[in-house]
Amino acid sequence: MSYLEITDLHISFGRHHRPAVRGISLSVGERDRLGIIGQSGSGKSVTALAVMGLLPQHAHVAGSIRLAGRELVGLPERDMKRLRGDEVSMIFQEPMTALDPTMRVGRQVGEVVALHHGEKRGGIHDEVLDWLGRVGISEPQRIADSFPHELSGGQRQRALIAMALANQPGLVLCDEPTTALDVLVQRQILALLAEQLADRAAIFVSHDLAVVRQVCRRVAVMLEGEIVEEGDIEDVIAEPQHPYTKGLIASARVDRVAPGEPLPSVADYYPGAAT
Amino acid sequence: MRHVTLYLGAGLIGVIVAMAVVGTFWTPYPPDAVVGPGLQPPSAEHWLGTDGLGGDIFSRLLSGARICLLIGIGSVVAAAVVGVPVGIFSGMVRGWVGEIPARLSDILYGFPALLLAILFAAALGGSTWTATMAIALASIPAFVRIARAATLQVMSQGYIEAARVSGTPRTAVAARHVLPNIAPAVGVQLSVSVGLAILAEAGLSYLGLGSGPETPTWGRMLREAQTYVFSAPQLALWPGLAIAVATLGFNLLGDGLRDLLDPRLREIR
Repeated sequence: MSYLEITDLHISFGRHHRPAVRGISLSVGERDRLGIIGQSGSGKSVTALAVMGLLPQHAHVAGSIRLAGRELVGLPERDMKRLRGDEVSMIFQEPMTALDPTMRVGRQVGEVVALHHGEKRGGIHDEVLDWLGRVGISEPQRIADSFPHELSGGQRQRALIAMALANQPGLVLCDEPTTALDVLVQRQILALLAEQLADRAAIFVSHDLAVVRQVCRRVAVMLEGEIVEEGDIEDVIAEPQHPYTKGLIASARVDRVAPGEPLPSVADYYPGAAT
Repeated sequence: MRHVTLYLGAGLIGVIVAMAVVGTFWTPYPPDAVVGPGLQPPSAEHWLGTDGLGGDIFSRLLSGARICLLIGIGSVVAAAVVGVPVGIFSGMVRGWVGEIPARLSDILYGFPALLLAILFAAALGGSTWTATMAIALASIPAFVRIARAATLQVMSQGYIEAARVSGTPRTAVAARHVLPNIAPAVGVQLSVSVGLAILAEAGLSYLGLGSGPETPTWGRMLREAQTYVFSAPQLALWPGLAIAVATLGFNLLGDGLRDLLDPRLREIR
């Protein structure tokens, strides 16, 4: 049985029920990593938020999200709160705003550790340093004593990853975790994620097929709230079925374009995508 | 020079605080006693002269500084203690539950402080306590508003979502993430409100709705000077000047703090 099982999930917003997700089904195994590719507004981030139970109040959710056999759709906030951090956690796109500017990094990581540790405060300090070390921060003590603005983008994202992993959640949702980083740091962070997520379930949301390819074996392509293609990532890249996927792959192969020729865009393959 | 308003405000407040400290331990004459003939001009014995009843103006001014600061700061701190948590609550809780306290405080905003004080004085009799309570009550809405606005802004930040994702309880989010991040805005409001509170207290004392005759507040001194405003206008000068310095000091400090803490200005430096 899969760890996360999404069946016929519909999400719409507001009084007029504007649809954002139209009946998607996904499953992620216990040590499985699934990439979700799609452009802005395709519903990929909304799906991730629905799994976390963090959708705004005016969202309407129908269908089923089962995490380790437990139904999450309609679960009261009180029970959902207990799952967050322990069973499922999330890594955000923006390392600049995801850390509290008034709090030292070590305390922020420690806060998450303490939440799920109950009362024994003693071992927290060591555990924080241990986690900072594990996510590849070379001077854990110095970084723990720093404020977020004193850190580089890569260090902040590492700290956030430590916070997301600190309680050993079974499922980690990554919402474009490398989009705000430069290419070199992006590669280091992807390597770190591939290593840290190896023994848990993960969903990796991105608009960049190349990024997803480094971390995931399976990929689902989302377009206008539906999954238009799903499968082994190498197969999808080798033989894309849907015109939108073909466009995505063609537009990523800049090296095949002769100088002076216009770059291929997704719209050449799938006119509906032009927005 | 950078932060002129901040230093000027702090300097003016420093003068008032020094007067209050000195006045607590020493005054040239007892502030509430007749110490000589009335309406004397400034002299070596009475530095600022004497008032209509023969009290030493300088002594009364010194002793008035303490009560002015106590009422001003006390009422505003009380207002902040009530208003800030309400504002944070109303900013964090979505939907109509969060709206209710904000709208109630808007209604309270509609009542002028003076009207509230007259109500209080009519019901409980004029005293230092009723004046403090009336000013505190009238200062609450400003704190609810500023705390709510700042909280709404903070709640849209990524670190709040990150805290929720890791399962942090709401009260912990409020205490550890929201409060420290709205503290600058609240600090500015504290300073501005103290200035307004001192002015309000003077106004209430002037109308006889504040402290009793045994307490020489600056507003009461102004009221007593009124009788002699044509024959001895200098009687109104000194308490008026003291009220102006105190109010201006706290307002300048508030403005200076705002400039210092404004994140948009901080980026430029």
